[in-house]
Amino acid sequence: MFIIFVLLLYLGLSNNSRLVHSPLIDKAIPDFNLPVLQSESYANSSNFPDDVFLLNIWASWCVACIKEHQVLNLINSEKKVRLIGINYKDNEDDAIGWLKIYGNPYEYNIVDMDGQLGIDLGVYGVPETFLIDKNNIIRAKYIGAISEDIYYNEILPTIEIISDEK
Amino acid sequence: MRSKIFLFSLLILISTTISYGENSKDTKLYNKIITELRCMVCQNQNIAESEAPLAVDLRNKVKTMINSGYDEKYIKKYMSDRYSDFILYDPPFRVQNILLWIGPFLFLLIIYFILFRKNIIK
Amino acid sequence: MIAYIGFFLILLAFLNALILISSKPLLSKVMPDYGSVILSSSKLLFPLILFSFISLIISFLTNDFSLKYVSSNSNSLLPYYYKISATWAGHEGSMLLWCLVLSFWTFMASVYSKDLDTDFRLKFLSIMGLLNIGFLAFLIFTSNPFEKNLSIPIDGRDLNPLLQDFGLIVHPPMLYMGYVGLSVVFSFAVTCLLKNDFKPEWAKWIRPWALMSWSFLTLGIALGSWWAYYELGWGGWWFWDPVENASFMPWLITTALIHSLITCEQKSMFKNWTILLSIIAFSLSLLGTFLVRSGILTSVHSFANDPARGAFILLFLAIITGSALILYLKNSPKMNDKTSFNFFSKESFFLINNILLVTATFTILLGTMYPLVLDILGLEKISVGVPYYNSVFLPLMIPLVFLAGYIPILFLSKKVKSHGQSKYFFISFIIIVLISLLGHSLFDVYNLSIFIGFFLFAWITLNLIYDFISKLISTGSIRFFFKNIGMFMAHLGLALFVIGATVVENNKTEKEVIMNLSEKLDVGGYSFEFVDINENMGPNYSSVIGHFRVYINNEFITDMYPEKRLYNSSEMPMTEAGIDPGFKRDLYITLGTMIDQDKWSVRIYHKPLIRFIWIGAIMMALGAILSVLMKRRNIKVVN
Repeated sequence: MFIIFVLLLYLGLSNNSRLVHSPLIDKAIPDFNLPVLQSESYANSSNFPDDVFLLNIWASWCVACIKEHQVLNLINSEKKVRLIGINYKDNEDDAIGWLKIYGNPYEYNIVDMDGQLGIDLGVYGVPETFLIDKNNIIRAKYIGAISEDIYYNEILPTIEIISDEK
Repeated sequence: MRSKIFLFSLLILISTTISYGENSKDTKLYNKIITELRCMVCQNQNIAESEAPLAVDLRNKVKTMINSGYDEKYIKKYMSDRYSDFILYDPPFRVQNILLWIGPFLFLLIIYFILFRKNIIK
Repeated sequence: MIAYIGFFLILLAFLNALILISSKPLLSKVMPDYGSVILSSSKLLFPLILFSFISLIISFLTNDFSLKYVSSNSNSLLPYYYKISATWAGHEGSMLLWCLVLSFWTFMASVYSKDLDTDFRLKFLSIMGLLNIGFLAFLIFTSNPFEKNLSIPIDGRDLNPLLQDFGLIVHPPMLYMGYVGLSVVFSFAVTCLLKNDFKPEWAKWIRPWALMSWSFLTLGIALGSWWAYYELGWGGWWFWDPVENASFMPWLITTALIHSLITCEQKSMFKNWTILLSIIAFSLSLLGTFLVRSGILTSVHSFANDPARGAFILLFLAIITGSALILYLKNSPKMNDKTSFNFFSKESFFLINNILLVTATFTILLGTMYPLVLDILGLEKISVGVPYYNSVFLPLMIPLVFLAGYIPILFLSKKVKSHGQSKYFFISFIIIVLISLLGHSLFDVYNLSIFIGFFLFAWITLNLIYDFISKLISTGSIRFFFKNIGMFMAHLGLALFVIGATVVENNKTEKEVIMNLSEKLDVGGYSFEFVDINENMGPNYSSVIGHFRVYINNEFITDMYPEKRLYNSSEMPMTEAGIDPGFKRDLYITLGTMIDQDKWSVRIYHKPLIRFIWIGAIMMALGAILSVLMKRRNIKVVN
């Protein structure tokens, strides 16, 4: 007993996962009806594309988002997967200005000013990114900034698998 | 930038606190629930203790839900459906957690037999 | 320069500890008087480490930022008293403090063990030396506080604002005195195992050490709780945080230990069990150290992560506890342990006390480790907190506290059955009447928890008083009272703690609102007026201070000044609660966030009887110290 206990603790030393498995995986995107940034229209879950896409949650006040944005721009330039943004608890002018400086890789941005959609998506550490399949089911969640490494070695392989599905 | 988030959350706070604080039963429930939900971004604090923006948001969410008449069970389920069981300081009774809940009673029984039953004069 | 001396002294101490442990195996053949080497080297450790510690304090006071530890935990603007306390605010310095405390206990053990049989004494001190070696090695190889910076910074990074506070200056030394004091008990138990015996006189000798450690642990935990109460700005006094749990577990086991030692001493029973408890108590304090230092936990208290440190402590824990347990398995059957008793006997009730305490400890261990283990196995992430402990831990405590009112009387009264049942019926009746009266006059709300709390309080108190009076009448002398004053006080402290904890948890009022200037709010029968809010500059922070006036029925009671500070070195604002302490209740205000110039979110709390929690804890600690002092007067040891 004691030995097992010590061994477990030893394993624990090298374990630093602060990530929480999202209960939303394999569930549909929650309903919402929110304005679109730089537009008069509204977005809701029914007008999401029938295609695999990434849903990225960002904000102009988020420092880690700046670094992630380079990767998002790269993803956009490769055109392998579509990218939609959720502008989370932000100010419209700040958000637009921010996109001017760092580039706009998103097809469009959903404005979640009061953070309700964030709560529904279980967002706790911006930036977060969801991988959504054709049927608008959440397939994977990435907490924290996406790196090129994550993009090439985790996201793209997963996309290849799920885009072959019906 | 950061102050703006504060401002937004505060706007909600104002809108929710106006109708709040009258009913003491609701206050008690509110205080109970917010001490039993974990602040996901903090280091082991509940959302009552933390001033992190997310904690403030979730407190308000709990407040509005109580005002709309939802009960504790519903609110906790609402939270764990979105943020996983990690947010609950009250781990649900499930297969993985079974040892956690019955462990103490098993231990009590075992130690009772080892220490007590064996040595007692009948 | 001074830092070099400090480091050199540590190396000397390490060398000295090596001499201490090796003299028995190496010198005993060639030098008949090897015992004197052990005795003097066990005494020498303390001054060596003390001077090293002082040299670290001097480095802080003289702003020696060439030291990494000083530059990352101090700042030239820091007031001098915080510079001193910064010495043990970070990991390295607190480990030095730990070693200092360990050497102090070693010193005391060496001085006060004259009465023990020589061979026993030398073995015992050698084991203490072994523990010293472990921690000194840890200090030197992984956590050297005298490490130099590669380039000398102009100024230091400042002390963590949370730690710039009186409570946290005293909290760690107290707690360490307790944790490390258990090393004496541990070494003693291991020596007993080596000797295959545990005589009643030995139990009598070791009990004061266990009591002293327990007393320090109690004070340390109470201080931590008090600090959390006024500093974390949430009005809570216990959080079931893993690190709190880490200090609470050894406390519970030591509580069991000081009780089981009584049966060892008086009845020569439960020898093996007591030895096992001693081993577990110290092992749990090592485990606590591991949990806090390794960064394996996410907790408000966690020190910076360093897997190497974690691995070292874990290895140390494995070796120390592992070998002690192996020795226990091997030698405990050889002990002459004739434990058998009737159900209605003192021993039996003592054992129930022990079983409850150990189960409670196990519950906390489970609650602390379970999420960790699930996470390590990659199964799931869960959180264990207040609701779990309320439903599993508290039910164990109620019978325990009930026994606390019952056992002392059994013990002092030699006979069990002569205490007629009618007496207890009578007492219970008075108690219940008293409860109703008290509960009614003090608190409007009736609920079962408060009822149980008052019942237990009255039960313990009345039993103690009844017992005292009946003894006074039957013996006609008050000597009996002085002999047991420590026990009386500690149990009374427990009663006060119970009443404080139940009332505050069940009858507190908390409100979180937005307040405008000059607005009034009623909380718990008091009326709070938000008068004013002003900016203020501290030595190393800027702050805003709110001003509240408190009234009862339009009659002015007091002013309160909650504060929000922004330290120069930190981005997170710190709340300094405005507290109006009182015997019957605390009023507690914290400022939340500013909405506009004269509109703030504010939290106001009314906390009835919360002071009883700490008063109770202090009485428990004092009770233990008193009983050590009283024992010392009429101790006739040993051998």
